[in-house]
Amino acid sequence: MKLKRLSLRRSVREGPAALAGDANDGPAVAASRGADGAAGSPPVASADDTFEASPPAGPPEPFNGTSSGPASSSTLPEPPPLHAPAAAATPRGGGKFGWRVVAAALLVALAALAMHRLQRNRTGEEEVSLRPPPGTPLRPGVADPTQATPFYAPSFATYASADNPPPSLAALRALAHGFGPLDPAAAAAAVPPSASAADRLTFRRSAPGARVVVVPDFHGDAAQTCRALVAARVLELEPSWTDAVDPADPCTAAASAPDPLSLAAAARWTGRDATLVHTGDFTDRGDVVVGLLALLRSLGDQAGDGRGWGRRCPRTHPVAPSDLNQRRPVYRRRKRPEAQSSL
Amino acid sequence: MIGNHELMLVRGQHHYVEPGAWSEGTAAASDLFAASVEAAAAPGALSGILPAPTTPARARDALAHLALWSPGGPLAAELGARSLIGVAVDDTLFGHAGAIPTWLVKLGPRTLSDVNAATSAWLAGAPPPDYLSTDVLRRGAGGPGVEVALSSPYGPVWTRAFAGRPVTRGNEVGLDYVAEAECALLHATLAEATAEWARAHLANPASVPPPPARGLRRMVVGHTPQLGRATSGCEGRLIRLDTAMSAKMALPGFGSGPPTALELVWSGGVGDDDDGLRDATLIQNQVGTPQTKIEVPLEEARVVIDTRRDPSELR
Repeated sequence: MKLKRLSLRRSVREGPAALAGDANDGPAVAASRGADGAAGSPPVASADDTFEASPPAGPPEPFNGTSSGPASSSTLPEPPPLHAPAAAATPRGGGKFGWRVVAAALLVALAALAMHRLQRNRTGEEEVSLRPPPGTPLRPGVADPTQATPFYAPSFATYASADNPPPSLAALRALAHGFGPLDPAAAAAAVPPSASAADRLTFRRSAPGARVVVVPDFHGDAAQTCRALVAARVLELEPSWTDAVDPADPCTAAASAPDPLSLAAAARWTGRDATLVHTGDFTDRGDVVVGLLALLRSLGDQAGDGRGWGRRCPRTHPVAPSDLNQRRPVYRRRKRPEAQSSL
Repeated sequence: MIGNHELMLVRGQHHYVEPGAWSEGTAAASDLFAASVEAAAAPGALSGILPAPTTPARARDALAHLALWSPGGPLAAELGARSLIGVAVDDTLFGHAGAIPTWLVKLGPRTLSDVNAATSAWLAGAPPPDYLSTDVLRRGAGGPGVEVALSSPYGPVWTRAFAGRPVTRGNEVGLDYVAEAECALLHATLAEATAEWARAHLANPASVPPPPARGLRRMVVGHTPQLGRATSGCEGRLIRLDTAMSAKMALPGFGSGPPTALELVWSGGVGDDDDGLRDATLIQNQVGTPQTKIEVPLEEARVVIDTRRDPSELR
């Protein structure tokens, strides 16, 4: 309706020339409708178009020339019959502007989609939709965790399709165990045996004065991982490794090492009593995953971490003062006041 | 920490495995299992791999990955032996995406330790421990199991609640509210974890160390790449460390991030005793340029962390 009013103003301002120009736009429309539309008058009109086309006190204005033929562009159009059935309406006004409105909406939608993609690309993290649309029928016989506990995300059922059926966890485990014998005792030894052991695993105090070094997501890049650990002064590489490559950046060799486990073999822990924490996501996206896991294991073994929960915290509060005085590193010894030092 | 990509591997979701990682995993599986990879790659055995393998070589690689990373597999057991969902060291709480109090509350009391224990048992291929204080983490015992629980998009492995600037940008005015909500959630998280630590210490003072005198006052997360450098929020109490430093994470126009590490050094607080307080220093070593260190500010927290307190007073 707004577009139509604009057209009205334009026709008033520019006179019959604009109307003629408008009229030339739609000969095909006029031809297609002109079979029963005698004298250029619209054969039928919807209720909206009737209201718009025949204002009560409007000037004699042929509202637009599209639906009226070229011959009638300068004549007054007949008012549409009031008894015209609305059900048989032809979208006359939409014939001129409808496709533009649709195109504009399409452009807006495309622009919004492009902006959305741009925002997602800026973060660099592809969002994986973990939720099926509501009401999605799941395969029969598949236990859907969302049905029982809608708080949690579904797992395989999300990605299930006719040609990609979801597996069962029992099948996955059986498949994994089919590769070779596992040592159940060694695997179970990593599980904290009691609630207090789990608490000790979760809540730790590092050694007094010791550093805590945190490194973020590796994502399978051995060279960058090596650089971060070297910069944090918890890792050194063996001289043989260092001599073979650029001494300024020995970690470049990690990217092209033929054996991914060689980096772990050349790694030396130099963090002493520091605690190393990585924030996860060392897998995927990169090419070295097993090598990074081996590197973390090597560093953990050299740092005295053992098997995780047992021997991480060497000393807890309260600390004996004599013990603390003996073990205090030099770099954090604080200057005593003059009066005390002279005594 | 155990990230969402480790979780995906353990669950058999191979959406982000690169060609180099495929071959590496196959080689490792061949070494570990005496070349039984080829023999075990029977047709139909891989019907559940995601995404579905398209070639026989890829099917063999997927089978090797599945064997290595499934619960009870050697790499999954190694992961579970050393990595956790959430851990607190001194005054800092660590997580991959960040612990969520509401998510923990749904799992029952004293839950961070329970989640760690249940995850470790799950990765080791062992049944859930009997001492879990809640049945939610036990599959088949009234709960979906820790595997399904961890896959929640609002859990400590997947959430974007601590991602900083929202992914979907809305009204610029609303960003302040986003930051406020993020900090409020952070303070609730730290308070909940501190209370849990104190409860664990009081229950067993001989083995569990006491929490720091001023409680947990910082959380370090990864998970969501920040552009260029690690960022901090909430007056330095939240440190988002992921800088997309992997070359495969390079963003168009930005490239991959610098090698990043965070160093937490004793702040030399009151007395000669180490009171557990650490100062954070960000280490970013761009190759070819001198190493830069950026101090991450953290104002002294003189207030006792209390969930009932207005978060604006804590900031």
